[in-house]
Amino acid sequence: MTLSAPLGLLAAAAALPLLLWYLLRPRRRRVPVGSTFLWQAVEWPSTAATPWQRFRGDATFWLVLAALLALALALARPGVAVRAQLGDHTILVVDASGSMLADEDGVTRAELARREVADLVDGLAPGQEVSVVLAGARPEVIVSGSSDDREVVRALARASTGHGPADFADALTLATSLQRPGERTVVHVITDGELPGDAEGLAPPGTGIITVGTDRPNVAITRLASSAAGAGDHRVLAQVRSFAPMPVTGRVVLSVGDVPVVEQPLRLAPRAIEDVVVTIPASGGEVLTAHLDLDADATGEHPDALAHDDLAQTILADAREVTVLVAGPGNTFVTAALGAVPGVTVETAAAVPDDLTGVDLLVADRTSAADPPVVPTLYLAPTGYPDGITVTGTAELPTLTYQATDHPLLDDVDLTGLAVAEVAQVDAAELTALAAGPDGPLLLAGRVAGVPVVAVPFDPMVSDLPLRPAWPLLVANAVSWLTGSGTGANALPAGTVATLDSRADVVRADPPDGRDTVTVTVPDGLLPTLLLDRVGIWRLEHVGGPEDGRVDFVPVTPAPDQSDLARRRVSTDAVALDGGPVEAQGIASLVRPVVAIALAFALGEWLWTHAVRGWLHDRRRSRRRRRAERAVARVGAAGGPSGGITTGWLPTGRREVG
Amino acid sequence: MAELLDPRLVTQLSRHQLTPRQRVRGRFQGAHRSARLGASVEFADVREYVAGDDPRRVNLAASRRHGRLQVLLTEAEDDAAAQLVLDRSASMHGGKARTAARLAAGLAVLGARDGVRLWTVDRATDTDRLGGGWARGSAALAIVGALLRDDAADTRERAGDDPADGNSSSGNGTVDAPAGRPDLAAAVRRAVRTSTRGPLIVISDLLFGDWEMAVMALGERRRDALVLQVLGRDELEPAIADDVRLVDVETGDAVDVGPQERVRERYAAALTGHLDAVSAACGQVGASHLVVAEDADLAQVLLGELAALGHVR
Repeated sequence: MTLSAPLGLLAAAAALPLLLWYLLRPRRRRVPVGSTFLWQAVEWPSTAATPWQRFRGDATFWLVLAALLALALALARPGVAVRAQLGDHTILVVDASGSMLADEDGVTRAELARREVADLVDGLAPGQEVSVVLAGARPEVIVSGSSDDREVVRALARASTGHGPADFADALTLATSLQRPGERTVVHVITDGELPGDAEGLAPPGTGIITVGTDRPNVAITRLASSAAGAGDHRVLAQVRSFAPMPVTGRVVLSVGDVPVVEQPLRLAPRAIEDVVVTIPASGGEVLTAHLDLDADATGEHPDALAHDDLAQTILADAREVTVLVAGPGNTFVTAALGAVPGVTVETAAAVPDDLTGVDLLVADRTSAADPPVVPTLYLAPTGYPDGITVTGTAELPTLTYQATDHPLLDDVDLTGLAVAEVAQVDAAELTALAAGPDGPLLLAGRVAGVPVVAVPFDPMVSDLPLRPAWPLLVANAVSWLTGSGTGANALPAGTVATLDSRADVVRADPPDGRDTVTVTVPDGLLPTLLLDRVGIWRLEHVGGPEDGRVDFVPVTPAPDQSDLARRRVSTDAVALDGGPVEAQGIASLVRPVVAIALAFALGEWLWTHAVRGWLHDRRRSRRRRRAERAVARVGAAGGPSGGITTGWLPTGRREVG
Repeated sequence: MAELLDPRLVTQLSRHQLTPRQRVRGRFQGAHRSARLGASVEFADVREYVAGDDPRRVNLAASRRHGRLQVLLTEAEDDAAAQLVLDRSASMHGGKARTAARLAAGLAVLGARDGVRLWTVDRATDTDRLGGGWARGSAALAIVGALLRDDAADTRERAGDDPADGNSSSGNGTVDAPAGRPDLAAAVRRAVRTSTRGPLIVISDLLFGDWEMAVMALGERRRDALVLQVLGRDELEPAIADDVRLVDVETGDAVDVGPQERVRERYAAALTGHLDAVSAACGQVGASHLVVAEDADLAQVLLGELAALGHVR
């Protein structure tokens, strides 16, 4: 056994005053009496003192002394050496992703991770330190080089787990940066699955993996979208995905505000997806909520281990009439696709007119547009681009190797296998390439001179794009994205670090779960960012500046990769970063058992003083009485006086004379 | 015996007699109703005349009713010598010892006609001592006085105690070696097993752990028993004015007590419980139980209370 704080043993010196107190206990005048038989149950200590009497160590003294010595030992923080996966500096990367909120028989995986950490750091020896990196959507160091295991446990208890994915790449980079030269560093990752591929390469060599949780069934709402359908109606798409290995039944309930408007039954095969498309009457600006209500399975349990992905919200868009001017030689596919978008009025012109008053969206189809653009513009192989977009050449039969997945312009749009005869190679620093190949971008979006533009650098007529199902969707998304009409507010997956289009001084964000307001200061010349790590509607209030008082609502939906709770789990032992095996000796603390023993001694002293002594006396008397009663019974059985004799044995009673 | 009993009390006691509360089967003819048939004038039964019966016992009225000669049967009257077991242990010190001795002397006077067998039990030098002897007739009081004196002197000689004190403590608050507790139950059992069939009287304070055994020993034979429990005034109403350590002169056990009201209340409860227990145990063995304070009026005890209980007439 080792003592972490040997000076604590000095507390044992308190035994000396205790001994003195017993020596100085009251010396009572001794009074001889004929019998103390009746006094045994009356004994009552007193405090009157005659000093320096002979030491009489009764039971109370030894019990108090034992409690005192145990407390002194506890203050010295005793412990025993145990093998522990700890180094001089142990870095714990704890998964704080949304899947860690999954229920595991009454506790969450996050709680299981906390217990793993508590068990690990319980053996922390003197001189060893622990750092903790919380791997959420935005990793952070919550404990840096602490030698106090309780501080680690407390910090983890305070840490909150978001609904978004964990950025293990950043977390492990952060963990690596915590390494200090000259120290034997050990890294543990506590998670509920494997490390992502991009993070594995960043993990320090020898990183140990501690997995928690088991495969659990789950059903989630993976998508919720709406668009104005005209006549006060909205078309709603709610995508429900089952991650359960068994069939699941239930219903999805759509509510506008707090009023349920649609209840759609669900019958999902194992690991199946079902799209619920309904039209609901609602006005723009209202909150649309989709909620899952699942039936219990045969065992009475609901096949749904994750609660936060059972609900998704979005904001219904206002129905708005949009006027689109298609300028160019004429394109049936374009005009037909635009005409299919609700609320869109299509006008055509051979060239771009000088006056674009009343035009909400300009489609420059194989013609030149105004430079700079004055209205939102969709460029379809234009003959001239505005400043900021330059054509460097052309390429034939380009291949598509990249398609963005998180841009609203490509929602439900699949460009895989797109065939294009010729594409112009453009260079646009202000635009983002949403689809690209080795020969250059095939679809770009962004702002030019502050006006939103979408550029398709190839002629759709020399491609198979107009023949694909993606075409009307792409056109509809372009109208929606460029004009901001027709579809609901863009829902962002949980864990997104959103760039806020704000020119205010400060943006105050109210999370949907009622936590404290997040205040974001807008830096000069830059757009602020905000981590949206909770599912629901975020309320953003812009304070100060030209946009003072503006309020935005941002719907956040469950992160799609967090709902699948069936994962491969492989735990591995840690190896020190210097390559050597972890053979450090940890210390298992004995403080709590020793304190418990001290309290037991103290309780024993109290019981001895207040209960046991009297009880023993009563028990002795009871035993004597029972013995006497047995003797009487024997006498009675032998025909003695209590054997039913009615004459000669008079009833007696106690008489007192005095 | 003026030091034990007042002569006027002796005169008064001599007019009364210890009497058994049940029929006795004595060895000699006496004055107490016997369990046998005999020659007294008390009618018992009639039976048919047989040759050899005293013709003077023929009852003519019964003979006429039965049509055959019937003789009258009468009860016998036997003696009923009493036995007295006197606890002279260290706890029976001071006023208690004197009251117990006076009780024994008074009972000797009351039982002088049939005789009283006195058993004294005490303990000295780690040995129980059972003494005593018979006291009968007009000299019974003197004999008992002598027996008690000799017994006390012998005990002091063996224990080396101060004769003036009557207990084993030195009287200055310090206590010498504990005197020990004699086995009163063994003494009672010894008395019970004798052929003497008269009243069996135990005089003790019964303030020791195995008091039940002594009471139970009374019930081993069908004895007409009486328990006189002599208690000191400081045992009935203890006056604790300070924090003191009470030391048992027999066992040496020490108990710390104080003047608190709670102590008084708990002692009173313990005393009441103990007396109730003794009374109940006596009732179970058919014995009478009488608590006698050390300063009680002896005439009231012997002629009032014992007469009321049927032990004296």
